[in-house]
Amino acid sequence: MKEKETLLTQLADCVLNMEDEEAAGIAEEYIEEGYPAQEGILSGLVVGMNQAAELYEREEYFIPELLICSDAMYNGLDVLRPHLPRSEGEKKRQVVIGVVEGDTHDIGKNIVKIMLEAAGYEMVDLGRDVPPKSFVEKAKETGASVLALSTLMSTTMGNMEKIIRMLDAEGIRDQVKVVVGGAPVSQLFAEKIGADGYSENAVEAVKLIDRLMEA
Amino acid sequence: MVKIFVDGGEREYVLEAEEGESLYRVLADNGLMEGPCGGKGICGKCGVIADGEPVLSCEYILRQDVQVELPAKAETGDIVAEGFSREFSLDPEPEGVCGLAVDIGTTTVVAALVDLHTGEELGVLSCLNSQKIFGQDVISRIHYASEHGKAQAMMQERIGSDIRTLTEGLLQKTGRQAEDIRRIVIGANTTMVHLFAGIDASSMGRSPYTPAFTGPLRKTASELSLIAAPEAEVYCIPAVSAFVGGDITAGVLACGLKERSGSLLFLDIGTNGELVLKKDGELFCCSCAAGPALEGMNISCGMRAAEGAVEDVKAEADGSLTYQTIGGKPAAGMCGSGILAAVAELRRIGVIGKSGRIKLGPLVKEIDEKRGVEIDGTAGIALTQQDVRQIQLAKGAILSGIKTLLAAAQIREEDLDRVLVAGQFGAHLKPESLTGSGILPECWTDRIEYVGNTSKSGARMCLLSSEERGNAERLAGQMKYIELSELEGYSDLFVQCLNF
Repeated sequence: MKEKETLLTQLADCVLNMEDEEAAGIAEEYIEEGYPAQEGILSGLVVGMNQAAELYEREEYFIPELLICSDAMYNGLDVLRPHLPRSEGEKKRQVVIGVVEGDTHDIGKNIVKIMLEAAGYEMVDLGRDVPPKSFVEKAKETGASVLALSTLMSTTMGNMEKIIRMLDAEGIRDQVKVVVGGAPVSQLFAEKIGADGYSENAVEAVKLIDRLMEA
Repeated sequence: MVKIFVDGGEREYVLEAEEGESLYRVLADNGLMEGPCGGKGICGKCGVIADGEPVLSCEYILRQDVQVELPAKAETGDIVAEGFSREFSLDPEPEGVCGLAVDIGTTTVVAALVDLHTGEELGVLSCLNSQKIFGQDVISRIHYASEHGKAQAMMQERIGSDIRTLTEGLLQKTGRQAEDIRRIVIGANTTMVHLFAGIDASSMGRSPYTPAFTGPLRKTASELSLIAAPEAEVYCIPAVSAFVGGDITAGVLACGLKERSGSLLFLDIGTNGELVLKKDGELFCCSCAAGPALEGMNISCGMRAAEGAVEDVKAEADGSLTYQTIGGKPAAGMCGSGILAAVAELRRIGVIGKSGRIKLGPLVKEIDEKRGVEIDGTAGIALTQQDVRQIQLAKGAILSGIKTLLAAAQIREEDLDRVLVAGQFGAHLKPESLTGSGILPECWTDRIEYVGNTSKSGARMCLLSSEERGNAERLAGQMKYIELSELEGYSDLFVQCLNF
C-alpha cells in the first residue's frame, strides 16, 4: 500500500519528467488505492504541469518538452476523470480559442490551448481561419469568460479588432475578456484595439487569464 | 504640425509631421529608419534618442517638437549578384541590343545589363530594396500595401525607382543607351511581382493565399516607367503560388533541376524558406515561415551581415571559443552565419543539448537563471538560451518543410543526392553550419552545393532565350505546391523538428 502523498508526488513527477508512458499506470494505482480523483488531478498532475511551465519560463524546457509533459498529464487525466463524482465538478470557466479568419497557422494556438486546459480552463477550440462572427456567436452561446484570439500574420490582425467591435455592437463586450497573441501582435496593438490583454507565450497566457479572472 | 529635428550623424534633417503620428512612421517615410517588423513594436530594433531619452521610435507618439538622434547606421553587406546557370542557346539578336535581368528580392535588388547578341554580361549593380521600410518580410509588405490608401502606388514607385537607379548606373558604366535596352526580365517572389506591377496583393495575405495571378506577366517598359526602349517587353517569370515565386522558378530553371540526374533539393533560405525537391521527373515544392532569426533578427546580439559581424565561430581543443568577423573589424554583433556556426559548434562539443538547452560549464554564464554562452565577454557578445530557441523555431520550420517534401516524393534522407543552396543567406555559410545546426540532416554535409543568386541567373537565361521562357512557364506549371499550414499532422512534425 502506497501513501497518497507518495502517489501524488509520483503523478507530478511523471508530468514534470516527461514520463508520459508511466503516468497512466501511476494514476491507476492511485485509483485502486481508493484515493479521490479530484485530488489526484489538482495536487498531482496539475502540480507537475505547473512545475513544467516554470521550467519553460526559466528557458530550461522548450515547446517539445512542454508538449510531452502535457501528454503525460492527459494520460493521467484519462484515467482519473471517469472517477470524478458528478457533484464535485464545479463549473469550470470556459475559454473560446481560435486563429482568426484568413490565417491557417495554428501551432501557437494549440500550445496555448494545452496550457490553459492544464490550468483548469474548459477550452472551446474553434480551430483556424475562423470568421469573426463565429467567435462572437460561440461566446454568446457558451457564455464563455474569455475569448482568446491568435494570428501569425500581420495581414489578419485586423480581424481581432473586428471581433471586439462586433462584441461591442452585440452589447456583450463587458461579459467576456478578450486576449490576443501571435508573432505580429504586441501589447501596444492589444491596447490599440481595446483587448483586455496580450501575452507573449503560452505560459504568460495562463497567468494573464488567471489575473483577468481574479479581477 | 510638429517638427522633428533629426541628427543623422553626417547630416541633419528637419521633418514635419501630424501630431499623433508615430515617430517611426515619419522616419521610415523619409528613409531614415527601417524596422524588421515594420514598426509594430515587436522587434525592438528601431531605437533612437528622443530629447535625450532612449525610446523605440515606433512606440513614440509625436505630441510636440522633438530632437532625435539616430543610431549609427550599419553598412550594408555584400549583395550576392552571381548565380549558377546551366548551358542554353541564345536567340539570334542583332548586334548592339541589350537587355536587363533583374532579381527583385524582398531585401535586395540586383540588375545585370546583358548584351542580347553575345549573351555577355556587361555590368551588374545592386541595392537594397527601398520598400524595406515597410517591413522586412512579404506579409508586412502585403499588409502595408493593402492597409494604407496610397501605399500600393508608393510601393510600386519605390521598386520602380530602385530599378531605374540601377539601370542609369549600368548605362553610365557601360556607355550604352536607354534605347538599346529591348527586353527586361524580372525574377522575383510573387509579392514583389505584384507590388512591382501595381497589382493588388492583399489576397495573398489571407488563407487560402491566392495570388491575383501567377504569370508570366508581360508589360512594356513605358507602362512601368522603366528606362528602356519604350516598347521593350518587361517579362516577369511565372510563379507557382503565393509563396513560391518566379525567383524560385528561375532558380529551378538555372540549376537545370529537372534535367539533372538524381534526387535533388533546391533551397532558398530567407525570412521565408522556399524548397523544391526533384525526384525522377517530379517536382514538389513548399514554403516555410523561417522568420528573421537566420538573418540575425530577433537575436539578442544579432545584426546584418555587415562589417564587424561575427561570421564564424570555432570551439578549440582547449575548450575556448574563437571567432572571425566580417572585414576583420572589432566584433559588433553576430550575423546569421555566425549564429549558426556558434550553434553548430556548441552542439558538437555538447554545450547545447539535443533539446536545445544550454548546459552549465566554463563557457556559460547564468544571469537571473537565464543562460548564455559568451562568444566575446569584453565585447559583450553572447548567444543566449532565448537565441537558441529562436534558431530552433527557424530550423523547425525549414526541416519540417524538407521532411514533408521527402515524404511526398517518397524518398529517404540518405538517398538524396544533392542539395543546392541559393540566395543571399547561403553565401557565407559553411555546409557544417547548416547540418550542425540541424537545419539540414547530418548526412547531407558533403552533398551541399552553393549556387548563388539563381533568381538573377535564371532571369538572364529567360532574357536571352525564348525557349527558356517557355521552359520556365512549363516548370512553374509542373511544380506541385504543398501548403504546410494546411497539412494534416504538420503541427506534430514541426514540434519534432525543433529538437536537434
